[in-house]
Amino acid sequence: MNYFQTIRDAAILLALLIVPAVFLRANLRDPSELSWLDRALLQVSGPVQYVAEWAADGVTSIVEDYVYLLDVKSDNDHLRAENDRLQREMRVLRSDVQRVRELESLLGLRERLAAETMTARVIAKDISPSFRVVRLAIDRGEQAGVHAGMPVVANQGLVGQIRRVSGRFADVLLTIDPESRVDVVVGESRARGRIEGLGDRGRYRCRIQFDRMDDRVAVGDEVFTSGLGKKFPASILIGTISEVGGPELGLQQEGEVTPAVDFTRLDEVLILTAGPKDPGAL
Amino acid sequence: MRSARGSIIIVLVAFAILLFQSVFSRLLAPYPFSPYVGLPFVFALATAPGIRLLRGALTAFAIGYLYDFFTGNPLGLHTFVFVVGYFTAWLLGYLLSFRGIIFEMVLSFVLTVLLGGLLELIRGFTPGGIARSGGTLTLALFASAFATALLAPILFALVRWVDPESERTPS
Repeated sequence: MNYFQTIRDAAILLALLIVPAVFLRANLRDPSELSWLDRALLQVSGPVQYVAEWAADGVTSIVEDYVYLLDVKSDNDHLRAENDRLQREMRVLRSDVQRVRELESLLGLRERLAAETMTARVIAKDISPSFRVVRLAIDRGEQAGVHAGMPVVANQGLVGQIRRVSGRFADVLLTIDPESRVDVVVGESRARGRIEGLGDRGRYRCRIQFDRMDDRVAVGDEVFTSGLGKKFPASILIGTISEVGGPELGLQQEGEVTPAVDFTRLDEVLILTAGPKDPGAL
Repeated sequence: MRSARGSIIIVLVAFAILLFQSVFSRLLAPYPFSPYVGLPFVFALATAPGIRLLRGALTAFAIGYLYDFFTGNPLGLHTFVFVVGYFTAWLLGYLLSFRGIIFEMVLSFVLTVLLGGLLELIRGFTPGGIARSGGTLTLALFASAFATALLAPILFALVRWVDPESERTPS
């Protein structure tokens, strides 16, 4: 490096120190005390600094907006998960509400029956190819004191009777089963008879046979248990007459009854563990 | 030509890191542990054997100039302090023979405290500037210098990686 270069470098280095110091001095002075040199320097630096700050603010704003969007995405994910959780909880609560209503309804039925009862939950249903329930299983069995033949009722009416019990479970013989026989009485006419299940796997129907040929019954009449034989308490609704026919062989008047119970929607039932204290309560 | 390109890249990297710090400072380095990320670049340039005094001073000037623009400080504040810091570090590098991570951290800590003090002193003369109490200022200075010293080895290594010529001892 020759002498000239050394001098040049030294001058530049000195300038690198002095120039910012001069600009700094101009910037730091009170505006009322500015000299002509300070004003000239500020005139030069002001617009440049304004443009640079504007550009820097723009860049910062873009980057911060991007970071903000990342936060929004995170918030969205969090809220979506929260929403899913609340939806699940709401479905469970709706189901619980439905169950509470059914239980309240059963409680009312229990009070109306004034008999010793036991609540049971339907745990299995055999469904026919036509989507009709042909068999029920409940979660009470021998251990709970359940015996075959005990009546099973729901809020809408008679479901059937216990057919078979095992340790903790029991099968219910439905009123629509061909093996089911119940002595009945028709609401207004007090006509007596007996119903048996038709075993129709496509629809819920029972056949009713009246004791007398001259009983005046009509479609829509309600059919109740008669209490005869003490197998079922009296006055439990079974269903309504949906068809009345003449005597096929000239011996008895017959008809069809549509059960009041919707077996498809049964979730809770009552088992009558002892006879009614007050027959005719329902 | 190659050395000029290296200097430009160093200035751009310093600027990018400053941008990164300004956006993420609240998350990564909450007050008072806010590092002066530009200073270790200047110290690395000053102590690199392959960088000429003039080139290093010009680069420090450019980094300080960008700092002033970007931070909205009075024009010349960081430019002046960075150039002063460059000369001081160069002198220390010239006088001291040992190098390494410890040297980089200690140099960064000491000079950051001194230059931070100089910055605050100059700011004290700014009309309408914010006056801070001695205790607050000392705490801020030392915490900031500590954070800068922790980052220094990474930033020194970054300068060496960006400009490998800086490590070559001039013949």
